[in-house]
Amino acid sequence: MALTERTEEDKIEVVGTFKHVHVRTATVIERGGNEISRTYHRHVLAPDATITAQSAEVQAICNAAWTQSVKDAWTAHLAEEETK
Amino acid sequence: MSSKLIVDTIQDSTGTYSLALGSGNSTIPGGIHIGGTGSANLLDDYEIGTWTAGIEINDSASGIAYTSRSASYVKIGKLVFVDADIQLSSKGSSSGTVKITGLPFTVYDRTGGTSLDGGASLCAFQFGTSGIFTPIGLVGRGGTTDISMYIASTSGGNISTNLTDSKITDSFSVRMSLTYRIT
Repeated sequence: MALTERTEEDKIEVVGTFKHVHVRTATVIERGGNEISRTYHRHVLAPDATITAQSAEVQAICNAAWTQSVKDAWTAHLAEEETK
Repeated sequence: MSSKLIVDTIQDSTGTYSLALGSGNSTIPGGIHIGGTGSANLLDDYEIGTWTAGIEINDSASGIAYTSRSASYVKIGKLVFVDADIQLSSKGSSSGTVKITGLPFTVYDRTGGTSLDGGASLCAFQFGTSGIFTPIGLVGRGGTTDISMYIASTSGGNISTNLTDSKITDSFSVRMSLTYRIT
């Protein structure tokens, strides 16, 4: 039976005060439709991230979570952190 | 498809019983309370995977190119272990502080009093540096997915000076690991 490989964003979470979007991408190997392997790759998007290369689903979640107040809080946090 | 769950108990030499499951893998969607039933006793996640480690100078990746890079993680509950090998072919033209980016989970922002909230470690290997007297120090930055990099700029000095572009070459290379807590 043939092996197939596909990727899917199987977990997208909005985390913490600054609404970081945690994205888990699974690479799934299947034989004859039965999964035989699943591996993960992760990346995190902060409110100042460029998201044009992200999937439509991730972009929609980012745009919903990242209100102007969240963006402002994140910018203030970074500025504060720079001084410590 | 449902199947029969085989559960057994084992009695040790002191007469204490413990639970034993079959020899196959067990799946526990929720989590396991260990040593108590409070939220502080709940182990609810284990995961391994990869992440994309990057280098930024003065918060910019402009012009930075890699000969190779690889990175992986192990997450056990709220504890994350990461390791990475990063080798540059160009450090770009930005000037300023050098940092590692791309951690797979946000570092716990433990206290507002400092940005140096995450676990700390020293680089296991570094190449393409100058004027550095110790291994590069690494600290996770609270509330971010970045790792700050520190050096001793004098012999016998503290590892408390930010690593800057002037201390690295185009062939800058590090191998590192770090354990840190997440939110």
